Amino acid sequence: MVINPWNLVFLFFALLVLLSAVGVVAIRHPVYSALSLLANLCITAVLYLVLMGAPFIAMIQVIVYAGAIMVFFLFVIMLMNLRKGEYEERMVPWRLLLGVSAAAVFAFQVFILAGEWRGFLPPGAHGFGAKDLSHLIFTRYILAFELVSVLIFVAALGAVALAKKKL
Amino acid sequence: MLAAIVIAVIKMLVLFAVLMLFVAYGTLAERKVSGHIQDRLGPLYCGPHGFLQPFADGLKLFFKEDIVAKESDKFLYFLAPMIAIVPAILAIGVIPFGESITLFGRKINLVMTDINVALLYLLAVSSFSVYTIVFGGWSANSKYPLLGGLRSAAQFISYELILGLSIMGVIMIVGSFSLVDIVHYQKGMWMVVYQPLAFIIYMVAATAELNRLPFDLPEAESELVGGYHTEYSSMKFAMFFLGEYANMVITSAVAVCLFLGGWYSPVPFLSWVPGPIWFVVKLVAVFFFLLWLRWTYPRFRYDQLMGFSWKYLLPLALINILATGGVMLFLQGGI
Repeated sequence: MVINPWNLVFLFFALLVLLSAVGVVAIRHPVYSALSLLANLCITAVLYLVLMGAPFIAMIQVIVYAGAIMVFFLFVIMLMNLRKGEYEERMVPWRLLLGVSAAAVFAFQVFILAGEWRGFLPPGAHGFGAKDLSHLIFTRYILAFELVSVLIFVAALGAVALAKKKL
Repeated sequence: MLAAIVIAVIKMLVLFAVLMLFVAYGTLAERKVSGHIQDRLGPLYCGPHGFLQPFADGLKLFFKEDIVAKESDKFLYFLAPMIAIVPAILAIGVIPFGESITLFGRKINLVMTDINVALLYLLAVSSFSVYTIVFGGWSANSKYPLLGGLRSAAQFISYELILGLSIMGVIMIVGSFSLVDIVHYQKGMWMVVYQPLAFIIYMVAATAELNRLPFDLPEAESELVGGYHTEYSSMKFAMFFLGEYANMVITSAVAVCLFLGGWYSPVPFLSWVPGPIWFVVKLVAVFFFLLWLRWTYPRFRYDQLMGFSWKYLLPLALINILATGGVMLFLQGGI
């Protein structure tokens, strides 16, 4: 195996991703668990940015997930305002087991990806920008893209219907 | 290589110092402007016309007793003021303030770094400023800060969306996310002429993101005592304000870059004035506008605030995008 400095960078960040992912399921405190998820999302964005040369996707990841969705998570957690003791009994061994096995699967995926990715990225190469992405979305994957948007729309409608008893 | 690093470090230090200077005198400007709007004089005794007031304030805050809320979540309680100013400092990295100059036979770009996703980067780092308020509000374990933090989370998400949509028209016209490209495009004509609606929406959404009147619900004094920073004192309290004023400076700078022609002079016969000076003049003008707004309008009610965002601003921003696209198609001669 050729030692490529980019491999080391990838391994470092992949390790951080794994650690934070384990943190999400292993940390009992709901707010810190959410923080761990936030760290996970941001480091994944770093992976996109530095290693895949896809700055657009990296930025969207941060804006959408870290900037909006995680705020909602925290919003709900803080609104419930769990006291100590209320969340500590929830931690049962099978949860940990599930967490570890999910992390193992993820690690395996990362391992496979690393194999495919090796030598794939020429540093400082053109990269994958917003134009490439939109070109692909609106030509080759137009049907899938529109279907996904319909799906999201239906999900939003469902959420409104569930939340509002009387429309 | 070494020279490049030295230049980068110097640029960083200068930008940081200038930002801090703006923040310090932003607080003085706030008090002076509010004073004159209310027919008072504002700070007057520290130096000529209160010119040394920011330093006196800083010293005072440093020497005040630092009270830590007893039942607080210590880690987040300390983290919140620490990260208050981080988004602003991250954001100055991509804001261009002049054409590149040649100094000692070396070409120096007057921007830290010109990345091709600068605008998205700005949105991404600015979206982190909500965590300061959310953590600060939650960790103190007190009801008023918590209410402030929750209000702020909802407000941020709503107005973040509007902010992102409002600048979409600019991106469509220029065809680039790079702030340098966007400023270059405005050499002949300011973007605000092409995108007046977007400019108004941007300023409204930015005011809401900055938690300033008429949108300062997270720290509404009359309902929430002080809002998310009620339980903080001394320098920790000051850190929130450093962050707030730094964010104001950044927001003004982005408004100048996107809509007001960046470092270009508004009239040709004044183009001998260096670009950075124009940039600062425009920045100060937008900053003054924000101060003016705060001391002129009363506060919104909370449900009005959210309704205003989703029922009026969002459709307007979408219409603006559609109209921009339509006009661009028309000018290109149809599909």
